Amino acid sequence: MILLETAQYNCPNCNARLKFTPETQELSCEYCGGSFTIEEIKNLFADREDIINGPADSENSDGTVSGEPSVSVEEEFENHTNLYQCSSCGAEIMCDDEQTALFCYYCHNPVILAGKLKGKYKPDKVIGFKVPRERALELFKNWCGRRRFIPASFKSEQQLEKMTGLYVPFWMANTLTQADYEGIGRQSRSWVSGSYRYTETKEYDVVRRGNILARGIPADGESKIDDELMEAIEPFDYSELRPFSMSYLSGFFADKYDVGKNEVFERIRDRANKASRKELKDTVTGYNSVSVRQERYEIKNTEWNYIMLPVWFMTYRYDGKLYEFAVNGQTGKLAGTPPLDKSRLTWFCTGIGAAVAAVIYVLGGLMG
Amino acid sequence: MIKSLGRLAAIIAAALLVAFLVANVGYPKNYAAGYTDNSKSAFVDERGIFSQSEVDEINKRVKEVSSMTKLNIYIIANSKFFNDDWATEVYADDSYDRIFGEDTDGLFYTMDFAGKSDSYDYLSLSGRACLLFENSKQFIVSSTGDHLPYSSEINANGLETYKDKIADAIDYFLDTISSYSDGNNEVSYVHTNVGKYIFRRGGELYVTYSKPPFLRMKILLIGELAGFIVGLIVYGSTKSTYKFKSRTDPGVYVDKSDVHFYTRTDAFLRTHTSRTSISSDSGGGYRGGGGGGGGHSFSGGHTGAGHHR
Repeated sequence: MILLETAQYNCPNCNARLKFTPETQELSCEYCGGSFTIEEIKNLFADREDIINGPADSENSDGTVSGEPSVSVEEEFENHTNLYQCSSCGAEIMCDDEQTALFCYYCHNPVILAGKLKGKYKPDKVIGFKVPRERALELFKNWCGRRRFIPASFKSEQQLEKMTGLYVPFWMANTLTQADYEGIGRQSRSWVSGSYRYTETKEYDVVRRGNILARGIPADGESKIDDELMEAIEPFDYSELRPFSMSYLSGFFADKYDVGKNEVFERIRDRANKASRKELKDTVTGYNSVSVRQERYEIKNTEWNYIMLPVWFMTYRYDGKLYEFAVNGQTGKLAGTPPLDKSRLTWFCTGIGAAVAAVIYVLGGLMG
Repeated sequence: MIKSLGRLAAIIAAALLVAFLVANVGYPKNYAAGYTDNSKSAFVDERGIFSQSEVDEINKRVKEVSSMTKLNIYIIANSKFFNDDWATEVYADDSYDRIFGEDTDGLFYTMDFAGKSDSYDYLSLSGRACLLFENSKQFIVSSTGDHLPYSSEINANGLETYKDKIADAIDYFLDTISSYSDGNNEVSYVHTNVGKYIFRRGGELYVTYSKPPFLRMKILLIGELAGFIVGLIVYGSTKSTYKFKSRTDPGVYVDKSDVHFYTRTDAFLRTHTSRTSISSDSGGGYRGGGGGGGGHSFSGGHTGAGHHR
């Protein structure tokens, strides 16, 4: 088991823990009310920020740290479990490989596992939470409110407690796609003369060749989170991307990536091609129909950034199935699959069916 | 899936049970008054066409057929002038109820000899007679009418001239009534002009203001089927709103200023012209139907059929 380096940000006034506040984009103290900008924190705690500037702990593909012997099944738990010591209460807390920011289970102080954000795991940029927890809960309640057949327990206080602010690791790619498109465009017009309808069709050779630059296509580097869910809460406003500082993570959970950029490239390519295709098709206009002869998209260059994006996240297990719900922590856009209480819906539909049957019976009774 | 099918099976079973219970439980009052004897069955000659002995002879025949068919029978050679067909029907229905009682089994046949240029004969049916003659009533009254002289003939030659023809018509009527009085000719139910239903249930004749059980069950099953379909549609459409929403369009990551074409051509190749002949279709027509008539206001349930001469 690995004993990890941790980093905490204490209030310079009262020494209580500082947490990142979405509304002010500053770190604030819940006890004395002190508030500090990210820059101020960087200056005050320069030594802590330096922790992540050290060399990375190189890892093998199976997640073990280099130099360690390969592990048996029995040893897997030990090798994938990390220990940290809470500097507030001294408790030794276990966490998994991916977690980089969390809370002490005993004193609930925010802890950043700085040792896991070193080297290749150090994000280039981050967008801080802008949507506070209360707003995320409000959005969630509104979302649930429109659906009558969500199980009551999904909206319970106990469930709302599970709403977690999580910095999700993302690979952000700028792709330069070479597009090659050839087709036959047809323009038709028709008119009637005598007892005949005439149709004139003009054909054009349509050629489009060029480069299409897509900026900031994201793909989450987190295997535990559903890719579709993350794609559904996009887009993020990249104008608010800031150089990474661990202080953004204080008071939230954060994971480091466990899916590398090579593994997400297929997803990026697919989305870049779709985006390029759309742009290209937008330029093929004025035709009644187009037959495509050739259509090819090839990514010539990709620039990568490893970033942390804010997501309010919640999971719910119902009827043996896991339901995930997410709110974009920057824009408030939400997505998820609502669980359906089939039993309640069945009763409701039975009621409607019975009402329809009763109305028909009464009307039928009135008729001869 | 198995759970859903189980729920579906339970709903269908419950629906069938409800239909059965609603149709059969709590049955309403039966107004059927049946048939007592032939004492009131008669032929009445208001126009004095026949001699007393001839009337007695016809009366005897009427009572025989009444006993045999277990139906009250009243035949009248009518001299009263009615303004319209409806008045004739009201007279026949009311007269039957007055003579034999409401919802008894029998019939009232009025032959119109009032001298109108367009005579109207009418057969009023009550109780079991409604079931027996539902399908044949129009035939009976029309074919009997064919045996009777036209009003123009009567006006020209006098009623006496057609005495034998009228006697033959009465014989024919009674024969036809006898031949159609077999229980096999009964229809399953009849809805009378005052909203009563006449039907058999367990061999017994019922006259009620409520629909017969099989009809109630049929309506409820149709209602349940419609309700089931509506319920399924609501279930399906509601369920479809509990799906995951679509992904974000990746087009948001491309700015128009980042699209650079080095070849962008739309070069004209050729022109085709085709020609098709236009077929002319003739327009369709539409003819609408007419309206319906009014209802009676008696308490005894009757059906009937009329014939113009």
